[in-house]
Amino acid sequence: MQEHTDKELLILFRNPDQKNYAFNLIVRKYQERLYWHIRKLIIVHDDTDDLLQNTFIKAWKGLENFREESQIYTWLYRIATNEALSFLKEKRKKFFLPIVDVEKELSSNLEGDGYFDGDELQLALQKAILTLPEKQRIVFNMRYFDEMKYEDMASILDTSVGALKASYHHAAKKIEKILKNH
Amino acid sequence: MKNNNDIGSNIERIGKKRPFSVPEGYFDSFPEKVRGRMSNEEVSVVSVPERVWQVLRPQLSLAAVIIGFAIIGYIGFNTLIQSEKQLLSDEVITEYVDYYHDDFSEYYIMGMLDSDDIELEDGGYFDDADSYVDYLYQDDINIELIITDF
Repeated sequence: MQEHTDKELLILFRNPDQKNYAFNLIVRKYQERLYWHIRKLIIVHDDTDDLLQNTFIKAWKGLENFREESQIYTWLYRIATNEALSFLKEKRKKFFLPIVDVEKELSSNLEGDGYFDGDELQLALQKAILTLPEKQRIVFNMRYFDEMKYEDMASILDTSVGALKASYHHAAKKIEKILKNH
Repeated sequence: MKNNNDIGSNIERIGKKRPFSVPEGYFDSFPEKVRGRMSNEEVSVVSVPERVWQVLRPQLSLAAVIIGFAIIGYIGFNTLIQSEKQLLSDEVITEYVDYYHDDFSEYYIMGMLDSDDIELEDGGYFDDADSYVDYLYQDDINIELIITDF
């Protein structure tokens, strides 16, 4: 099936008769990319599933007022990132845990999760990524795994390209150092 | 790619393969799950005010009864106060005086006077109303003294 452009999807969505159909196409187009984006931050499948649903529900409610200054793709990424960060924040508040402990919990979830099927080296890489500060982790995942352009990342994370490049550089160095000692 | 300059050999040898998986058919069924949530959200948007009304109805009924009693009490109290004020109105007093004016005799008025208030020339006081009358019938009344005293 031919994939619609964001512009075509928006035109369809604004037609009351096609609204649900258009949104269904948007979900199908972006669900996988957004799923993996959230999953790499949250690790556990069930939590990722909840947050992905929340992301699309918020998108459904906000798409009426969506302005075409940005792409649907970057807008959805922004919602998904905010959902993931809010989830981690709530988790810390709920359990009165300092940052390190939440990241430790995520690290132990890696091994406990039934849907982790990587080898020992991949596990080591994921654990190393989880030692990074939240923002660096997001930047590293988006750049290294998703190969996203810095310009798009800047639009999603509301920061400058220069700051993102520096953040990615520091993240890669830290991970390399950890893996060297592994 | 420029970012490869940042990637060391240890990261590179692991590669970019995702080590995670999802339950079978997850992405095929996910849009249906979102549609279900969307319908629930629409239903809950409609039903939230109804639920709030159901919860608040007994309290609102009680509040309405209390307010009703308060209004009735306030109106009743004000009516009572007004009627008490009207009992003492000028019209009533005038009517009373007109009706009973025959009873306001000189004896009656003098009987209401306090005899201690009037001191006689010889230093004595009136004992009762008869003393006033006797005094007033005397020929040698000093009118100026009476005017001065009253």
